[in-house]
Amino acid sequence: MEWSLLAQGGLNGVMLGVNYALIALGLTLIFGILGIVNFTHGEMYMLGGYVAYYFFGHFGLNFFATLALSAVLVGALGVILEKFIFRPLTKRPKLELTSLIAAVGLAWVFQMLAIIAFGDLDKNVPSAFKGILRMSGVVITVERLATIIIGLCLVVLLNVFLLKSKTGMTIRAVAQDKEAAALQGVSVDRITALTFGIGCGLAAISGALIAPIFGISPNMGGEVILKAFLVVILGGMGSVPGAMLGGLVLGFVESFGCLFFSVPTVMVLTFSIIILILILKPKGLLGHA
Amino acid sequence: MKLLKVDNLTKRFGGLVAVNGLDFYIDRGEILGLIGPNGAGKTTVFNMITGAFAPSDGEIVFEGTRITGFKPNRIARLGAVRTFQLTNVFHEMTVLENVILGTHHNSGIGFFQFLHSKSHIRKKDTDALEKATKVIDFLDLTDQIDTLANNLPHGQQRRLEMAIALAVEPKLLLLDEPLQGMNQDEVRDMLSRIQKIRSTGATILLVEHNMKAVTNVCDRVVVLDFGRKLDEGAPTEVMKNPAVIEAYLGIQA
Amino acid sequence: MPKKIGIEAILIILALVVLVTMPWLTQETYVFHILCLIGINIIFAASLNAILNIGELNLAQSAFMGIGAYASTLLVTRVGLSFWFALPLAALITAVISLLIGLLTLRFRGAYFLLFTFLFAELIRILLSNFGISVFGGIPGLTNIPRPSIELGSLIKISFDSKIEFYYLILLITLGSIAILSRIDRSRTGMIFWAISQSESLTESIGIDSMKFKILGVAIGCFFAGVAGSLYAHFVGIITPTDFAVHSVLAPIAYVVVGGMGTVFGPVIGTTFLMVLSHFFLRELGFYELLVYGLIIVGIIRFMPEGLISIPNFIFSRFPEASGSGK
Repeated sequence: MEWSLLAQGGLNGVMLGVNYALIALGLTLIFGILGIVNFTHGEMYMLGGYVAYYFFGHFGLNFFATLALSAVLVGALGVILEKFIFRPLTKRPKLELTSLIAAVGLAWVFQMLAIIAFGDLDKNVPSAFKGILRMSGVVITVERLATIIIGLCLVVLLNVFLLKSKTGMTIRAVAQDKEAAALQGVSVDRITALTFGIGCGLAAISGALIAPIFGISPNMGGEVILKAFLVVILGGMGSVPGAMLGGLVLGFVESFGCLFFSVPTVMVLTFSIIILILILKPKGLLGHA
Repeated sequence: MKLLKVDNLTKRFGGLVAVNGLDFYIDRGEILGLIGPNGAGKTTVFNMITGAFAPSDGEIVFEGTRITGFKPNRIARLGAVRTFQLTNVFHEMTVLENVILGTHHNSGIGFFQFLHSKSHIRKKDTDALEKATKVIDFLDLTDQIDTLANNLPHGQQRRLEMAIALAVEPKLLLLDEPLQGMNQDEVRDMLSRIQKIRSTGATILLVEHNMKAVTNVCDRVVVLDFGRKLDEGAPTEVMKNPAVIEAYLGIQA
Repeated sequence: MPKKIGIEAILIILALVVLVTMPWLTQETYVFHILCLIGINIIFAASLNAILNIGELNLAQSAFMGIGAYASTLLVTRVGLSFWFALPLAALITAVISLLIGLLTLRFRGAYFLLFTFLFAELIRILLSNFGISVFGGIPGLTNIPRPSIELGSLIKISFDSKIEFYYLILLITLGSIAILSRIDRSRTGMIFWAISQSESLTESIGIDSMKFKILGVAIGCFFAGVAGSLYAHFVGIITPTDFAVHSVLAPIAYVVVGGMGTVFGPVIGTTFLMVLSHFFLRELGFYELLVYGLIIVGIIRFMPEGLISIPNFIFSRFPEASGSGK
C-alpha cells in the first residue's frame, strides 16, 4: 500500500468526518435540549441538497449564498416543525416515544413529498470549486479541500457561538436545567425553537455542501441519518465534542476500510466496532457518566 | 443498634468532589435528618444510599450487608425504600393499582406469573389487596382508591408516594425532600404523617432543606456543607452551632 | 361498567362469526389473500406493541420478523422439519436472539435502545444480503418455500395450499396470539410492564428488577414477531432481506399508533382499519398511499394520541348516562 493512497484515504476520511459531524451536531443539540431523537434530521440534510440543486445549479446563485439560504429556509422549517408538532408533545407523557413516532412519520412524509416534487432519480449538482491540487503524489480536488475547510469553519463557529455568545450560553443553560433557566427569566420556548432551527440549518448546510460531490436523491437523508446516529452514539448523546470526535472516527473507519475491504464488510466492521465501544463505554466516548 | 452505617462516603464528578469522606449512622427506630443548604451534597448522598449511582469511595452497610454499588431494586428488596424529590407515581394507574404494585415483591408472585393458573394467583392477589387497602387507609386515601393518580391534587399525590413506599414494608424509609413545593397546610399535614409513621416503629432518613420544619420531627440531624459533615446531634443543639448558622445564612444572603 | 363490557363482547362475537363464515360470503381469492396478510400484520403489530408496553420502540422488529422467517424456512427446507415444529422453534430462536440485544441495550432508555435497534436492523439486512449466500440466498433471498400440510396416517391429509385453508390457519394462530398477549396484559407481569413504561425509577424503588422485566417484554414481543415471520414466509413463499429492512417497520408503527398504543385491541383495530382502507379503497392512490400513511401517523400522534380505540370512551364520556354506572 502506497503512502499516497493512505494520505488520500485520510483526506477523504476528514471530509466524511466533518460532514457527519455537522449533521450529528444538530442531532445532539436537539437531543440535549428537547430530549427528542429527531428522525427527520436526515430529511433536512436532503432538503439542503435540493436547495443547492435549484438555487446554485439552476438559478446560478453564489455558492456561499446558497449555503446560507439553505440554512435559513430549512432552519425556518425546523422552527415550524418544533412549534406545531414537537412542542405540544413535550407537554404530554411519554415524550420520547411519541416524539419519536411523530419524527419517523414526518421523515416518511418529507421523503415521499420529495419524490413527488423532485422525482426519484439521482441528480447532479455542478461543482462550485474547480481544479486539482498535487502535493508529492497526493491528488486532491479543490472541491474536496474547500468542503473540508468550510465544514471545519462551521464546526469552529458553532463552538465559539455555544461557548462565548450570550445566546449560546443560554442554550447550554437550558440544556442543563430547564427549570432553573426558566427561573432566571430565560424564555425556554424561544431558545428551544432556536436550537431546533440551528440544528436543522446545520444539516441543510451539510447537505448543500456535499451535494456537488455525491449528488442528491430523495433518499439521501435516510442513508445519512444512520451515519449521524452512529456518530452521536459513538460520541455520546448530547455531547458536542463527542459528535465531532465521533464524526472523525466514523469518517476514517469508512474511508480506510474501503481501501482494504468491500463495502458490506466495512459496514459490518463499523457496527461491530461501535457495539464494542458501547459495551466498554456505554455512554459513548465523551458522554456524561 | 445501627440499621444503616455510612463510612468514608465520597463521590467525585470529574474534578468536582460532591461528597467528601462522610461518616454517619442511623439507629433502629429513630428519625435522622440529613440537612444542609442547597448544593451541600444531600441529594448525592441520598442517591448513593439508594443505589441510583455508585460511590467513588467508601462503604454503605445496611443491616450488616454491604450494599455499596447495589442496584436500586436490590436495595429496596433488602428493606431500604425511598421516595422522590419530584412527584413520582404511576400516573395512568389508580391509587389502588399504585399501592398494589408496592406490595409486589413481598407478594410471592413469581417472575413467570403469567404462566401460572389463575386460582394460584388469585389467592396471593387477595393478600396483596388486603395489604394495600390497609396502607391506603393509613394515609387517608380510601376515598380516592379508584381515582387515577394523575387526577389527584398535589398533596395527595405526595401521600400516594408515601403509601407506595410503605406498601413495600420498609425497614428504613428514605424520604427525599418530602416538603418540596408544599404550602403551609400541606407541610403541617405531611409532618404529622411522618410522626404517625414513626409511631409504628419505623426508621426514617429524612433529607430536607427546610431546617426549621424538621427540628420538630427529627431525633438527630447530620448537617452537610460542601460535601462534608459540618455537625451532628440533637436538632436544638445543632441549631446553636455558629458554623451551621453561617452555612445557612451564607447561602441565603 | 357491565354495559360496556357487554357491547365489547357482542362486537367480538360478531366479528368472529363474520370471520369464520367468510368463505360462504365470498370466494374472491384476492379477499382471502388480503385477509391472510392482515392476520400476519396483526400478529406483527401486536408484537411491536408488546415492546411499546415497556416504553420502547423497537426499530429492529422487522428484522426479528425476518429472523423468524429465515429460521422457519431453513428449518423446513434444510433440516427437514415439518412446518408445525418449525414455526414455534423459529419463534423461540427469534426470542433468544432478542435476549442478547436486550441485554446490550436495555440498560439505557429511549434513544439508545432505538438507535441500537436501528443499527441491528441494518446489520441483519447486510448480513443476509452479502454473507452466507449459499444458505441465505443473498439479495434475491429464498424462494419456493413450501406451504404446510397435515398428514394423519394415509387417510386424512389437509394441505394448506389454497388461500381459504391458509386463511383458517392464520385466523387460528392470530386469535391464539391475541389471546395469549391479552392474558399477559391483564396479568401482574403486564401491570409491571405498564408500570415500567410510566416510571422506571419508581418501579425500581419498590424492589422490582426492571431490567429483568424489560428483557422479558422484549423477548415476548420478538417471539410473536418470529411467529409472524414464519407465517409470512410460508404464506408468500418468497423472502428477501429487503422485506425485513428498517423501512418495513413503518407501516406497522402506523397500525399500532392509529389503533391505540398500549392496548391489546388497538393494534388489531389499527391494522384492520388501515389495511382494509389501503387494499380495498385506496388502491388507485398507489404511491400517494405511503404519504397518506405518514400524515396519518403524525396527525394521530399530534391530535389523538390514544388512537381509534379511544373513540368509544370519547363518545361515552360525552354522554355519561350511556356508559352505565361510569366509574
